[in-house]
Amino acid sequence: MGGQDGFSRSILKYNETSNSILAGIKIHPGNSWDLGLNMTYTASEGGLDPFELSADDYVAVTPPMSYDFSKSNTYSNIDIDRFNFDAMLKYKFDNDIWLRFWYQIADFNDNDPYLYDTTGMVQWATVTAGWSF
Amino acid sequence: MLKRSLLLAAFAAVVLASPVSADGPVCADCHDEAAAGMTNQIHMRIQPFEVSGRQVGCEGCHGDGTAHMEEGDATLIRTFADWTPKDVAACVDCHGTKGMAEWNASTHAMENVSCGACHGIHETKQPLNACKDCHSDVVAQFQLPSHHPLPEKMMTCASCHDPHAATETMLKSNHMRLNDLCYQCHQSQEGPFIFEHEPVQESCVLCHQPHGSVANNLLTANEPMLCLQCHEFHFHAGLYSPEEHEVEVGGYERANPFGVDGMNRSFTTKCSQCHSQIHGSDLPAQSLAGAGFGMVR
Amino acid sequence: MKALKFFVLATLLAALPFAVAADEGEKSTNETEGSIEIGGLFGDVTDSPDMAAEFSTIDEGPVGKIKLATYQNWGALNFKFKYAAQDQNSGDLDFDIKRMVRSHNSYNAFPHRLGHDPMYNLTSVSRNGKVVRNTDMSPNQDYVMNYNVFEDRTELQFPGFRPLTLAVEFREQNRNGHTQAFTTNHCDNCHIKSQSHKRNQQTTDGTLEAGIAWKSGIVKARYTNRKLREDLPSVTGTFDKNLHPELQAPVFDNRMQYDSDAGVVPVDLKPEIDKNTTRLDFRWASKNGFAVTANGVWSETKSRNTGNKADYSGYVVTAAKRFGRNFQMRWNGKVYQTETNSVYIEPIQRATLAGPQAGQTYADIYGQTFNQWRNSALNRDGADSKLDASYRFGRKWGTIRGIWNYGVVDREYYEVAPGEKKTTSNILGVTYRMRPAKGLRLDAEFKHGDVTNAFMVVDATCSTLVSDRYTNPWNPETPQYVDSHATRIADTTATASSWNRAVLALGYSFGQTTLSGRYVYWDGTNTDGNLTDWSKNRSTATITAWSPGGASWDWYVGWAYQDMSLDTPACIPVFDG
Repeated sequence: MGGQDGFSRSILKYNETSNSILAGIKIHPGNSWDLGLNMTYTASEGGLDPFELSADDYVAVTPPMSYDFSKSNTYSNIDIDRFNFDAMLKYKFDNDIWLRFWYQIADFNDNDPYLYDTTGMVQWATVTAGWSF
Repeated sequence: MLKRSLLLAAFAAVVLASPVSADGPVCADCHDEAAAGMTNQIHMRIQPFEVSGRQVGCEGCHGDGTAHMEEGDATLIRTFADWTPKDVAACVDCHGTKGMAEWNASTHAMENVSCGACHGIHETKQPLNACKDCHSDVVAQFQLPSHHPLPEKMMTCASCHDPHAATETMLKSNHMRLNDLCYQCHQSQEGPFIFEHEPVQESCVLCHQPHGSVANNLLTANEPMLCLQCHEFHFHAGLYSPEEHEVEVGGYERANPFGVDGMNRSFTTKCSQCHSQIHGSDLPAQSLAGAGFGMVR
Repeated sequence: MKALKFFVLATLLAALPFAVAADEGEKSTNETEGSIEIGGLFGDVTDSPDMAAEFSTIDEGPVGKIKLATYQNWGALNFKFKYAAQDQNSGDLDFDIKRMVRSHNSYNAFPHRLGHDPMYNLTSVSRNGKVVRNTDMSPNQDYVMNYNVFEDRTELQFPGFRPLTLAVEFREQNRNGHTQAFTTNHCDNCHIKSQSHKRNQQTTDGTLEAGIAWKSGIVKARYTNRKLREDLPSVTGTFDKNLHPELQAPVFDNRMQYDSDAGVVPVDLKPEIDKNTTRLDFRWASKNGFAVTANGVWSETKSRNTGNKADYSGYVVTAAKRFGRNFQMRWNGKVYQTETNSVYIEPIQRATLAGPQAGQTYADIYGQTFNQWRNSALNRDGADSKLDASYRFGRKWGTIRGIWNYGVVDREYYEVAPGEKKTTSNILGVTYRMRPAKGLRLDAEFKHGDVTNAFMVVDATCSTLVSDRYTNPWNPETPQYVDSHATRIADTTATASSWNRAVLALGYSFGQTTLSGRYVYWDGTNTDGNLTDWSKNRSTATITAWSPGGASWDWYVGWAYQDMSLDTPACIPVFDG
């Protein structure tokens, strides 16, 4: 046996799912205070079901070939969850002057890295003073 | 040239400048709260010449207020309480020649989504905040790992959509092709290229989901599955690799860190690592038999 | 262009004093308000910021915000600017002068992190001496593109000749940073090289517009010139010598158009382009609820690298009429044509230096040159017709809408089925929106689409070639890759030939609170081609609740579930590859 022996064919099945939760609240309890909180959380998965593209007879007489695709479905899996949160607190000394504090966090977890691990977390804190005229 | 231009300009100035004024019942005497909130609002600053001489101010939208002022009867003036088709027509009367030309034929109009569903006039309301009230499935797509930067507030729905436009998807490019909308920002993918990738010519959304996707780069499915819808596996994917992590080939020691799965892993992970010019290229690939169409250079 | 600019400016300056004088006695409100906010941004990064801060700055430093709004006799000005970092800031400037000059300007800048592919998977060896390896020539490079865009639209309209509105638009988009450029070398081994490609890309659009409006309509003309320029030269590369992996002999030279013999060559080259677009618009609306619009667009895109051009011409007409209070119809028709010039491709034929085919080109041995005309898949005529009718039962029982869309794409060259270049689609649908009780909202939609000759790749996979000899550079009689390609039989696709979409949404408002749920389902199949068996379905379910509360609080909460399944057949040739 040598040369080409036609083709091997299989139905590939691919699936993605994602769940997201979003929530936020803004509170203005009095003239002096403003508080805002927001969060989002998303968990996403994607990947191929296991598949075969077998060519057993050909492989038996053609040593360089294996046609072993038993792990191929695992190389492009996606398993990610992402959490975003921000909190903003504003205090007004009077109608024209205020202090604002704003905190944000983005937490990205790459639980089944595709090409490389993109897991990371970034936090930002902003402190500002404001004046209106 | 200079003298002629100045003379023309002076003539034009006399012709073009003429007095502007607006007069009518004083609504603020009774509706002081609404009037206070509208003081510098754009609808109160518009001049008649901008709208083909139409009435502006409160009566510009609510109609003649004389009878209402005399009787104090709310039924004698347009109130926009129920947003009837006549109320919508009052807005479109001006806005139809001001960038909302297609409103009458728009999907929102056909479904009787009125102006008030998104816009506030007396109160400050960001109309683009209203999209999510109905299109929550799109909001969900923007939560996926890869997305256009709308949650980050670097873009808005109006970056791509015109909510007043006359097509089902209300894309801003309805007068051209869908791809032309994408090329507004992603011009480097437009080409025209010598070596084409035909689905790119057909439609960007064959491979991309513009709102958001689980796979990176807004792809409708992760590679290699995305590509395998149309292309076959590379024939090297069926090769068998040795167990050894270092193998001598042609006098060189070559690394094989994944053992027996090595070749299969190299050729079934991400097609565009090699075929990187996936949108098209003017430079030929090496292979003669492919006539340069490999999208690799 | 220069003369026109001068004339417009001179007219404006001359008109202002007259306009100001004419406004004496008019009521006006002079008011200026604003705010300034300054402070600092502190950041912390753990591991990779590529996805966590894909579009956000990670720089630390001063931040500021300024708002200014002034309303004066001469007009109004509204200015906002927010600075978070050098790579993340935005602003808007709107002003008008006596409502005769109306200008809207916006600016937005943010980074886009692209990630650095370390190519871990591109390292392997096969049992028969094939090698995959990679070289990262810029291993420490962070691939980030900094994006900024400035957009301006300024209108001029004068009271003495109010029908005319002139407008100037300017848009400048810059993308600068580094992208990862890959090149693939063959034969000695599959050697993928990666290098940093420094980019400084600028797209500039300048538009002139003139419109004549009257109470019931408008006619408008627009011309846009676009330039896409890359300020930096493209990166270059040297390809590896095409050697047999184990024998290290140049026996594949006649199968490759070039290798290291070509020296340093450009790679990852994106063309600079010029694009001109002309657009005419017309709108007219009658008092009895009939409105018609028409527009024509003509555009030419030219690649400065190759001189290749792509032309587009298209015409859209919409017509809508309300019959009485409740019945509406709309029709949207579009015809267009797009084409680009064909390109004659002559692959380079080189003679092999060693082995039994030494001194011979591929054409010498097999009689094939692979010369061909690249006839573009873009070339097509298209037509769409969208007809809708809706009936409003009233506020409570809502509106029902029927949809019929028909589309044709007739391609000049590209076959989507054997002998077929034309795709036709029919979409039928119905939507229903109602408010059956106070606070209750129901939306429902169903659409079905049928596509004849959906976009497909004919004979794309599944090679039926059966041969008794391996592909072998020592034996010219063995079957070649082109023979394997020529015997493919399966037609492939990523497009549905039949699809359905269903939407159901419920909303209930009680007091200040709104609770809503929405379910969207789409499924499509395509079994139209030979061995074609593609199917996809997608569903999205959302539940949201929100309350604007009152003066003291508001809140929202939402949950979304999304699911997608995609099935497609895949093939691989069975041979010693």
